[in-house]
Amino acid sequence: MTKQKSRKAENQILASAKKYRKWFVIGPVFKLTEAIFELLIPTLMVYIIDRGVTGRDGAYVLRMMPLMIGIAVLGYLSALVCQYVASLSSQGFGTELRNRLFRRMLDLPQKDADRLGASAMVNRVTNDVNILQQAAAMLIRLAIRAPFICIGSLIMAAMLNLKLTLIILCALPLLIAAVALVMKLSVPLFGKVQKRLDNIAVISRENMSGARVIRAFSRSENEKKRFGDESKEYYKAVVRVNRISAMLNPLTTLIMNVAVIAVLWFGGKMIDSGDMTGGRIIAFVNYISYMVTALLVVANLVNLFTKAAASAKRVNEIFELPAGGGSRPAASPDGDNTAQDAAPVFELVNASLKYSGGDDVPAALEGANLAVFPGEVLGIVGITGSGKTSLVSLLTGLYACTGGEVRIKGRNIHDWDKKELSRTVRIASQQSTLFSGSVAENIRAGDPSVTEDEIREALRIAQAEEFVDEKGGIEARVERGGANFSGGQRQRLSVARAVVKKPEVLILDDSFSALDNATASAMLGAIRGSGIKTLVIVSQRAGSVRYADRILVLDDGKCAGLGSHAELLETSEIYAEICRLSGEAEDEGQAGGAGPAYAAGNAEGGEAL
Amino acid sequence: MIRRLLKYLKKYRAALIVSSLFAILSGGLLLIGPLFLGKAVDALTAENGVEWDALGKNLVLLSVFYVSGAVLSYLSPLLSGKAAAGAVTDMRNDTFRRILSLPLRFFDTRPHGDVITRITADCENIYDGIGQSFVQLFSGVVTVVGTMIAMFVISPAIAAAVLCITPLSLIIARFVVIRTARLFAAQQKKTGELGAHVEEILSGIRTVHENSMEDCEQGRFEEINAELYKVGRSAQFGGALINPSTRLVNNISYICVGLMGALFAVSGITAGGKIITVGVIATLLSYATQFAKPINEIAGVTTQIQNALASAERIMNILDEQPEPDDSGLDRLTVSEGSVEIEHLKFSYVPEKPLITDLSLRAEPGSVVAIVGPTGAGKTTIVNLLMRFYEPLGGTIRVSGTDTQTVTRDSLRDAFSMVLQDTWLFTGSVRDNIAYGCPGASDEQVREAAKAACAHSFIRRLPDGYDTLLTDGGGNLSGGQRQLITIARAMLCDSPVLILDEATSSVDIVTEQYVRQGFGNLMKGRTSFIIAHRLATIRNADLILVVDGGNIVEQGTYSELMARRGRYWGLENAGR
Repeated sequence: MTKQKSRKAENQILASAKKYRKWFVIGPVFKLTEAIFELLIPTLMVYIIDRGVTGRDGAYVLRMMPLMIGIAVLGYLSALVCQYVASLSSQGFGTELRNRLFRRMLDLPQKDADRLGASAMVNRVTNDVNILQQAAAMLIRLAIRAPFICIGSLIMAAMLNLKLTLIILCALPLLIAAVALVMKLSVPLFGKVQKRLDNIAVISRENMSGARVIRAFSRSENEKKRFGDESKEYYKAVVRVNRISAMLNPLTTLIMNVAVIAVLWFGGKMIDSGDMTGGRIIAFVNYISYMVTALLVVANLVNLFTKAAASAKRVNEIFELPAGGGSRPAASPDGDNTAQDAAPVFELVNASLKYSGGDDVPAALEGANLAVFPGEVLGIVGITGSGKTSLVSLLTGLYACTGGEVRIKGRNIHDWDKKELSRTVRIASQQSTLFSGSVAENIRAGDPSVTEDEIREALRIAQAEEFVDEKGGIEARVERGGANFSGGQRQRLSVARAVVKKPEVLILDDSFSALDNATASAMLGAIRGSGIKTLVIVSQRAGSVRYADRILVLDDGKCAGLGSHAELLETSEIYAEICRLSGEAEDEGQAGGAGPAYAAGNAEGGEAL
Repeated sequence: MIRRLLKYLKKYRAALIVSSLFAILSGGLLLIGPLFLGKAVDALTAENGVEWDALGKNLVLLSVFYVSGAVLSYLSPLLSGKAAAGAVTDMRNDTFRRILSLPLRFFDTRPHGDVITRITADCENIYDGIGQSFVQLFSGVVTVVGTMIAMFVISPAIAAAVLCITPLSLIIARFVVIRTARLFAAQQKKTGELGAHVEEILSGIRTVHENSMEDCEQGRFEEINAELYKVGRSAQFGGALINPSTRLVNNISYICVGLMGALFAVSGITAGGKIITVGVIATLLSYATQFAKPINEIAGVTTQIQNALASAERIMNILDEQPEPDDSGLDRLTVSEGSVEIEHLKFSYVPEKPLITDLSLRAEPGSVVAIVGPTGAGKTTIVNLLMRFYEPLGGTIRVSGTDTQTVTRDSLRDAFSMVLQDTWLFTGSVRDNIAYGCPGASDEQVREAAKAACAHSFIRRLPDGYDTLLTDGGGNLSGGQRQLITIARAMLCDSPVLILDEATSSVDIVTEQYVRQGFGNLMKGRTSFIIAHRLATIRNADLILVVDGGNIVEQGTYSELMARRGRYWGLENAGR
């Protein structure tokens, strides 16, 4: 079964190369032509020496000159064609593979994306594809040429003299054994060197970011020792790998030279008996050196292809995952899209969510039952880890429930087209992630149908108009991660992004944590007045949700209460506790007076310096 | 620059000198080889049959040369590599030590990635530059010059021809390298751009899914990818030109040597007073191939050496940074009671912008002092000065009655336990992270500290409990969990003064309540400073300081401040 799976996935890598299939044939053909021309040169030299020099035929030598130079130039031209084909098709293949891989990553279910982590995925799109791309280029350029030169030299040598070829046949296994041994010993050592260097980088990074803590605990001496130890290990590893890898060249050269001496000695005997000429001996020696050079190239290729195989495996891991996120064909709208007000806009029926499979791992959300009707404002409260974010992740379809069912407007969430769902249910999430680009691009979020007026209105609703204008309007630049905006500003932009297309259900996941009360209540008022009917407000604090129609209290992944603020104060201990700890100030509610100007706005982040 | 580099190499000069000697010797042997090869061929092709004596003698000599050449060419890079690795390791350790002795300003202002690159990649560049390129350059030059001389001795005409043709390959290589260097740089840049884009989008994948931005992001990716394809194709092709081009030049010079040699031999032109024989042609052919090889290598080696020098400069920059003054001669701080007094403190990060102009306060032993105020008011700066992460421009700080300037920094810092808002965890087990402040702590003590910090229950649920390895600065934990581990770390330390700088900012309100109980036990009889945004958490403090613009604008207990209806009252009412 796994074989079946991997074959299917491998197709993705092969499929990326498919467009360039013919080049993978044409390239090597030209390279072979070059190799043949190259192999001809020493043989022609034999004729020059044997017929020209020994036979004292100067005219012959002159006649050979244009022929040989012509062969060299023709070889060069074939090589150029091959190199061009190789760069064209390997880069094309890599580009295609990157596109496919990135698409698949975007379509991965959130569950798998979380598990893999961003940096692992980034490495695959960049490093691993680069290695595969390089391997493709080398496949065209060298993988055929080098073995061909090896075998070709052997054949040419055999044509010159069969008996002397036996010497090469003896030397060849020795050479291969030497190369293989050096590689076998040094490749894992190189891996160790890299690992040590990574450790050095890790220690350096930790010492940079932890400078305060290290000093606070007076641990500098220990850190120096930790670094010194690692640095010493690295030194040892480098010296060790050198000891092995430095052997490659002298060893192969030595074996080759011994073979040359043997050729001269036994060749002498053949010349004595008239079976061999001086020119042939020279050519013979030449072919041996061709072979050794080509063999070293083959060794490097083996190394590269081993690496490429590992990369292919890592890339395939991604392709092998099921693409969960992709859009499904929308079920035909059979009338229930325009549900009556009496029907719930969304429902959770015994919904559960478990992030990992282990039996002893408790579910993040268990058996949640809830029906919310159009026009309702629902509050969700609970402490960290109580399942608030898990619950809203089910509503946006980010995660599929592991038990029970989620219905949006009466239809199972699995039957919704992804795009349609995100137009119906929108979330302004906790992280308030912004992408580099302009404010408008961020709010448009890839929807080309969003007009400039809609963007402005969204900014107005989110109370973001003022600071966006200060930054230079909706075309103002947003730096990576929204770094040029404060935490409170990012929250407001993220709300603007969520409201821009007026979803039927708007979820605000802790969207006020960096806003002062006045701004938060103005924003809520604007949202309610904008035509967005159903609102879900998630918060750690009771104050933000106390005016909701109903409040859901979550505790340890379970529903621990549902009702109005007043009801819950009576019936839910946890709710009462959260209210108490939130402090009296919050009891005055969101409408509470605005504080001094300096306290308003962005309290997030603290001071860096 | 070079002199400072040499200083590091001095310790290893014996190895380097021997290595260079070996390089020259093996280069020389490489030169003599073809000469005897030619003689052997001559012995084979002698007019009156094979001259066995001469052949045997030459072959024996050849094998001696080959074997000793192999040994020397193995030992030479081995020795220089070892010396270079040693020197670079020294340099790396010095750099790291210097960094640890630098004032905190360095860490706060330098991009961390840049410094890390210096310790890793720049040191590698220097290693490559001196360890390998140096010897390569050495033996390369010996080979080129030697071959040229040898060829001139044998046949000036042929040598001149080779001298005319071979530099062509150098020129071609140079030309292509310069032309493609630009393309490679462009490719590198685009690759970086693509990587950054991928990183940004994939770290925000949740947002991409939530807003169904997949198609739009795929489009943007494909755009950059298409640009990368364009530069990548040209760069790769440019780079792929070098080998065939130099091979063409080498082939042509090989052919020329062969043809000229053959013509000279046929027409009986003498070279150096001798008739050109088949053996001489063999020698010349052998030299011609040998001559070209190092020339191409030298081109690459010079850029490597340039890189090494540039990297050395970057390392020296760090070594030139001014360290904190040595305080090993000072007394250690002995704390009898945990009082802290600050008098007329003056400080600024940048001279033009004074931050703290005149700050005084006194914390009685065992009291709880809370510091509140808006962002940028200077709350964390007070911590920086208390711990002597930064030095004040004026005024004094006394701990337990002792001026902190008169004692060692380490002993002062030992008097404090500290929890910062940015949670720092290092690669190691949960246990090691908690026991960071006192490595000798028993498992029992670690567990107790974790329990007091409300971290025990989630640590127990980690895959390996307390032995779970934390990587990536604890990337596998939530912000709140990371904070609880750093709190446990501070709880384990038995220090007279406790500093909590936004220590529970990522922890939810209920958990915070429990943590505070833990702190309550910990703070008994200890002086503590608490910086907090959530005012609800500091109401019981003995003294609340409202800080703004680097100075204390209001102070008193909660009830006093509320009664005054001033700044603190305003903060309370603004809520959050």
